Amino acid sequence: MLNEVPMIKQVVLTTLSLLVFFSSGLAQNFAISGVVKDADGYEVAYASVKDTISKKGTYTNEDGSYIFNAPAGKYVLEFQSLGYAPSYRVVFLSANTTINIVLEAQALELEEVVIENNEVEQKLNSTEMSTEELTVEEIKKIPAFLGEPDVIKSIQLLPGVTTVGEGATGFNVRGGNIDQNLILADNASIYSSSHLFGFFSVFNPDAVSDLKLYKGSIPARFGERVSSVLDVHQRTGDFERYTLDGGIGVVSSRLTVGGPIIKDKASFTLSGRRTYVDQFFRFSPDEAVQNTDAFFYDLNTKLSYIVNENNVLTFTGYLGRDEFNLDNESFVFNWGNRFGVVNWEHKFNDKLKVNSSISHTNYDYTLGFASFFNWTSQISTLTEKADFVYEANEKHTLGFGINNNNHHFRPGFASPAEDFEDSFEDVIVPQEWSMENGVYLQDEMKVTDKLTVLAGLRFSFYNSFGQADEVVYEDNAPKNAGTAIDTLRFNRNEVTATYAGLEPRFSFLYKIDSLSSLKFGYNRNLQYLQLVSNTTSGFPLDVWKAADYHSKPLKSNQFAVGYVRGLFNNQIELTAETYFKVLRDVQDYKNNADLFLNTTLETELLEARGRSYGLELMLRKRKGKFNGWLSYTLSRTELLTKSEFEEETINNGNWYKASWHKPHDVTFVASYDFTKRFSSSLNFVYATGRAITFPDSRYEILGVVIPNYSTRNADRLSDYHRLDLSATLKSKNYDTKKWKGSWVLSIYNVYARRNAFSYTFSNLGEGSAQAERLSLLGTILPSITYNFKF
Amino acid sequence: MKYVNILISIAFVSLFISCQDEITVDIPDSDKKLVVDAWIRADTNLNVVRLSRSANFSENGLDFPETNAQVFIANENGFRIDFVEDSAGKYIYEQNPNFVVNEFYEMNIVTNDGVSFKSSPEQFLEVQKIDGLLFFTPNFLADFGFPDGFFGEGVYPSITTVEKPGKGDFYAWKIFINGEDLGIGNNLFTQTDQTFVDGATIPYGVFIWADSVGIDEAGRGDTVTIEQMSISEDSFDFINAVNSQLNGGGPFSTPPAPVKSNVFREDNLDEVVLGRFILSDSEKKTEIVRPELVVDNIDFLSIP
Repeated sequence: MLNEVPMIKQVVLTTLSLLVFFSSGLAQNFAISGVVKDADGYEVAYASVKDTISKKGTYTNEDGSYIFNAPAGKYVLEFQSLGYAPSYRVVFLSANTTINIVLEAQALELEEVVIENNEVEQKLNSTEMSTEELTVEEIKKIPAFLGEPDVIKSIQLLPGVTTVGEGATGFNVRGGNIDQNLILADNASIYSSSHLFGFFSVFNPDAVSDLKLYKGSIPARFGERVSSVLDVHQRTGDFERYTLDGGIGVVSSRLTVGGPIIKDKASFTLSGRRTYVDQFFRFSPDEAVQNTDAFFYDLNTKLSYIVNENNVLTFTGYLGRDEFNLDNESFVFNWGNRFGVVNWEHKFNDKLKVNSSISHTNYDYTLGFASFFNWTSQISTLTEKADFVYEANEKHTLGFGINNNNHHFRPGFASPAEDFEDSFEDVIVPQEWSMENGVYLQDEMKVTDKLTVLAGLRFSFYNSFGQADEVVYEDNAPKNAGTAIDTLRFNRNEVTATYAGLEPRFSFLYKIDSLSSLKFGYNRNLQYLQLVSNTTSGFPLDVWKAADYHSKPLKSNQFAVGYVRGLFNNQIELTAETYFKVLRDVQDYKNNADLFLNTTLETELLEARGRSYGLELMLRKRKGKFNGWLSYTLSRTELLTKSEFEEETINNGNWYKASWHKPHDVTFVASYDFTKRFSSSLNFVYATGRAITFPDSRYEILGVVIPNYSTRNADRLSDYHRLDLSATLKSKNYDTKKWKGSWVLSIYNVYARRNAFSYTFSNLGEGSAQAERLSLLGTILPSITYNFKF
Repeated sequence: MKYVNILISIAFVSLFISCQDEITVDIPDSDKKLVVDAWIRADTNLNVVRLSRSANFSENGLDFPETNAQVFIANENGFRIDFVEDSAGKYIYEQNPNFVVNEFYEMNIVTNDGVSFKSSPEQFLEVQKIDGLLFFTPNFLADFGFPDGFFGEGVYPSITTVEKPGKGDFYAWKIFINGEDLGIGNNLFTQTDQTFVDGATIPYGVFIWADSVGIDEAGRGDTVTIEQMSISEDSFDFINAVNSQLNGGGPFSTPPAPVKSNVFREDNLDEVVLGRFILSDSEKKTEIVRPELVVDNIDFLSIP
């Protein structure tokens, strides 16, 4: 087993070498390539690029780029996308040519035109189901918390996506916990998606182009997590002109510059964002507060290089950090992500292309009293992957590829400061090394005009490695300090555990007629990493745990049936989906588990079964003066932890609700363009309160009155609802002026609803149950932001 | 984690957006459960076991004593001491129990209606002496690394002791001011195990920190007693779990959960019993808060 690691790396390297070999000379036609953007500089995905003479063409990719191969000759190219005026270029093709296009918005005329190739039609004709897409323009229209448009908060407005509360880290998809979402930015995974404990996400809206969320029917090219994939694409720099974007808000500001490095060949974007609430601390009369820093920042960059008509190279980098330094760093708490990814898109010929990448991602935190102790934790992953697409013929499109993840976790290291070296010893939670590999093959088969089938199979293979000391516990006994009988020593690189599994994926599309489709999907996913978090809301100090000698990987099977119908000439999309998901080996925790710097976590962890089922309904209008969506989700999410031993049994072995379970969820998101300059947006959210545990009685021991909690998550918080509004006023001649400014007034939580995040029971001596209700946003929050583009 | 919660509070308060208010929650009545409050110590001639029934939230007060029960502690080596009911639900034993170090003991209860309850065996563990007692000021604690203003005015007791090497020992401390019991201290190392301090001589003291234990300035001259008690690991976990119930429910708290008792009904193991039978040996140290014992600045650390 020792040789597996280099062997698999060798396979990856060999594959990449083969790509280089094949890339040398298969191109026969000339290529027309480029990027299609809108007037604001954002890439336009899925725009059609068509020769009006031969009627042949292609579509832009998710990053707005396209490549169209054709023999020498004359072409009249039409670039078109819903909501934009078509643009035409006449090309006399005699060599490879780059044509970048800027499409002008055409919102006002939309309702008059016959709409073709729009998102509704794509949805009607695609085997994809359980997916949601948002463009950065849509995200920026949604009324924002403190004026800061937010990717994660936006997707929480989609059906099937919830959160345990405002300001909570991460998001829950179809009953999955927050660690069951694979969050990708240009193919690099991100372990923590939040700033400021969850009030903001790590995605700077100016650095993002668009995103897609897979809630089910996850394509075979994705593995690693069981509940969803959030695939975020970073913005590509303009290849022709320099651009400047930014926003100045009440708590943060952001700036993005971009433009060509080599005209039509190479471009860059560089984005930065920082909050500055802590600058107000300087005016405090309290010296300790004056000397306190509390802020986050992030930096994004993307470099793109069109090598030739068949090769595009990009590099995406990210560095983000939250910093809390109290009183001249006497108390320090900081955390953050950083990643770098090199992507190589290569087109072998008209039928075969590959997207390969190598990325490194890192998440770490430090907590410490400067003169007392420091505690650090770190997780990093090196990933290599290659995804091929082969368009065999009109009936078959094949996808296949491989990926390899090398994980290294340092869950916890606490050491005393110099003055206290004799007082206590270092506490080191053992490091973990593991490798996760996947290969897959899928075929999208057009069986008949009405029936399309997407069948995929993924095989994942996982090893955890030493150096490790694994405690052996008595058979037929609960894992605890009293049942430990031996310790197994694994040397460095020695395999401590091996897991593998097949992950089949199926989707069926049956097109009933031109306006409606029926879909069915099944996917099985394995997840080898889980987050160790026993708090209601995720926390920066949570650590990830890889499957190992004691912990098995999480498994999920999901079935979904969906119906899509286009209404009003396909301007409105109606989707209805129902799903049923079964989970095995979900990480749960013993009652009153102690996870803090625990070197034998297995004595506190439990492996639960889970089930989640629900119905999602959505009406969505994407374009036009009035757009938005109305959605309703009915769902149930439960866990079961049953063992022959009482300490490993929760709720007497009966099903209990997950803490993020909210049965009813209604969202209304709407935006209306009153004039070319003035628009307004609205959000209304209603959800049942999440499940929590109430005490059933109280008693006195040790001189204190204690609430007695019994059935886990049998109760719930009060219902959640909130209304947000925003108004945007653009500068005069916005579409024609170089400097484009806009003022955005947002009012978050308009009627100052005190939505409960948690209850803490107090005053236990009284004759009624009194609880302190914590509302993280307990007031109306107006904000104003000035956004600009140049 | 307390520091982290404070930090989060600062973050939220700095945004002026969070708020807390008190609400009344409707909770239906549940079964009345037996409550065993029995922390038995070896160094006293008066040990008390309180038996009661849990209170529903619809009921006023907590005074639901379990009367006319038989209560005794015994073990397989023939040891037995019987408690007598002194007042409703209060059972006392007025001699030194003379426990033997490292032996196991069980608590037995037979209620007035003839139902038998028994504890799992609890080990009697020896305790180390307290060598010294000092009082830290907020100024010293700020020098020490705690943020300014973290501690209110007053002095905060700290003990010097030697942790017994070789195994994981667990402790709890009680604090008395002028004889008044302030309860169980709750601090970074109050309940400690070998991971941190096995065998170490703790040079600057175990710092007994609890919200209620700051002795205000006016209290200088008061008499302070620290009682160091040995407890079993299970009792250590129990006290921790009780503490987390009191703070449970917050966004970054562990979810509240039942706290398992070591007492069970013999003919129905599924019946929930609350409280615990805890055995401790203990050592006390008493000092008057006088200037030479008050540590006001970091220079103290340079004392050999």
